[in-house]
Amino acid sequence: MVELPVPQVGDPDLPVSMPSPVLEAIGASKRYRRGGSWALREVSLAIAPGTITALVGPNGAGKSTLIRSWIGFEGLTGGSVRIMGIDPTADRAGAVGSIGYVSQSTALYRGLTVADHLSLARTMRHGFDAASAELRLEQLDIPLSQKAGTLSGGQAAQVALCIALGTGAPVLLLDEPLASLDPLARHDFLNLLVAAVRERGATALLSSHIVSDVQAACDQLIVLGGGRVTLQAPIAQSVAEHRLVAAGTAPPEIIVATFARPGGESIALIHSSDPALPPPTLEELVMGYLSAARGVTAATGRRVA
Amino acid sequence: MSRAVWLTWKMHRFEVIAGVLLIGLLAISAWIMTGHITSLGLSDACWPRDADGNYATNACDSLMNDFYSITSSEGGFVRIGLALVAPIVGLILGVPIVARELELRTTSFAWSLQASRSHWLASRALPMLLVAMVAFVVLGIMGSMFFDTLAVGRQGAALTEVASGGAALVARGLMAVGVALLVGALTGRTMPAFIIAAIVVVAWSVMGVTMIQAQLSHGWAVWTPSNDDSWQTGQLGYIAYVDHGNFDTTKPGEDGQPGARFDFDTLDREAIATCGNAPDDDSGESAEFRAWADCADPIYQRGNDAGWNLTVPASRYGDYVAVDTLASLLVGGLAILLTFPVVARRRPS
Repeated sequence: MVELPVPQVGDPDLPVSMPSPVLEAIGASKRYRRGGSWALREVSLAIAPGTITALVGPNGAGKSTLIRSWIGFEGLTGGSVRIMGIDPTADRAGAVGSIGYVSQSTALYRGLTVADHLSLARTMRHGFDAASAELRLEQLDIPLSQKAGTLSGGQAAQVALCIALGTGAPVLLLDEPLASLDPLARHDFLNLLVAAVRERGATALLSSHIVSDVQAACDQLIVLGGGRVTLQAPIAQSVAEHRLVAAGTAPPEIIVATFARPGGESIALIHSSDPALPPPTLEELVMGYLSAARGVTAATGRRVA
Repeated sequence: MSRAVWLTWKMHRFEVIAGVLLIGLLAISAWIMTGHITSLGLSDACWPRDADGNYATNACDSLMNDFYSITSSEGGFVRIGLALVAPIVGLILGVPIVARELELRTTSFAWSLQASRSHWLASRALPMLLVAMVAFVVLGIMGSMFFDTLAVGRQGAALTEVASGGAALVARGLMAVGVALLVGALTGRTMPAFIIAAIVVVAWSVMGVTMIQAQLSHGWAVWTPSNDDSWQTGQLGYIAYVDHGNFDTTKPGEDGQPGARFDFDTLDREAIATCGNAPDDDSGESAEFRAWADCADPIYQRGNDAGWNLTVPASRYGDYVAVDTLASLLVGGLAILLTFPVVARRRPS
């Protein structure tokens, strides 16, 4: 497998002009049980401020583990993570105070109304902007008096996002919030996210395995496979620097991965900017890197869905 | 703060309502029973009984019949309720505070908003503890009033009922809240937490408290002539001393077994050990078996004809209550304090 260079903290090759990263992982490793498989294996990455980054990978790739380590929900087996320069293991309160978080399951208090959730957020987060959250919810036609237990999955995710945005946190961590949403709800969610993040100049990390959705909303891409970062680059640049060719026609050293299209045609994703060759779609690019990650996976014995 | 309390109430209103209802019903029942017994007009004038066991007057006989009728029926239920309801309500209120949030995964939401988990726990637990305390105080007062009326009929609370009223009831209930809170944080599951916490509370209430009481009784017990019925006049009462399970009445005289020379009774205000005959051999007795050793004491020899009872004066009852209260508060407080580091280290579901 060929990996694109991943920016390393302290890497002398890192562009001098790159602003201080908002989110960093430095050799982050996580194993849940001694002798068990690695959820994260020496993950190093840096996310610049003001970006919306898609964290893509198959189930079990370590996306949630990585995101939860930034908010102090998971301890690491090795390495470290930083958010706004804060190590959450040393200063969890500082890390939490910098983050707006939407969890995978979007678990709200079923017996409380939407308005109660806003009140709850006000009691728990200093400076929570309930007025802006209310405004966003009104725009989304979500009644404040409705109980969370009666919200649809999409509405619950929207409420969670509005609360995360209401914190005014400089960093938004969104752990697969789109997973259970229908296309319309996903569209609304991403519209709200992009508008709010752009308006505030915040930084967002959105994990997902729905590539078509993140393409519209995100400008950066991180592909996580087998607990490792296999690609980190701007989306447009990533697509521009890869091409698709028929399997077996490209030199091995530029092949990222070979995989089959839905019709059964076997193709290779290669490092190339040759205008004569067709560029991959983002989905094909991700598919290529996930296929490459499976190679890593096979070597480590880790199962990938 | 008031908003946080209001939201905590909304989150836990079902268990709060259930707990308050249970306690309210029992407190009202105890109050009604107290009224019934008081209305009998039973007084110390009915005591002592004569040699045939009759009360001072025929009216007293009738009153005592009514008294026993009440205490053996509705009063009995109230008595059982006073022993059980506070710990049960403590469990109902304490378990879901952390366990249900972990179970329903709302901790991800809450802990991502609240920078300090200690503040989060305090904001959830304190209102519940406050509700529990107010409810337990009401029940404790009613329980004390109820047992005070029983004392008129010479049926005060037994040692096993130390926590059926007053401060000890409040402490035992709060201890249950604390244990439930800690176990809930450890397990993260409501029903297993309820079961485990119930086992811990029962173990403490039965074994832990009994051991403490036995230790106290060893220090407080005195020898009293068995024909001394002064307790009937209210001047001196006898309360249970040690677990009668330590004695074996089927092996009289056998080394290590005091046997039939002892008469045991765990009922309050009665002797638990009576030496009827001098022991033939006490060389094999364990050091901790005070009753046997004390029976060989010259004081027993002096009372050989009449027999002597090893008893704890009823005036010590308040000391048992105080120790029980403090011990329960210590256990509950420790459990609550331990919950903080558990929550701080806990991974949200």
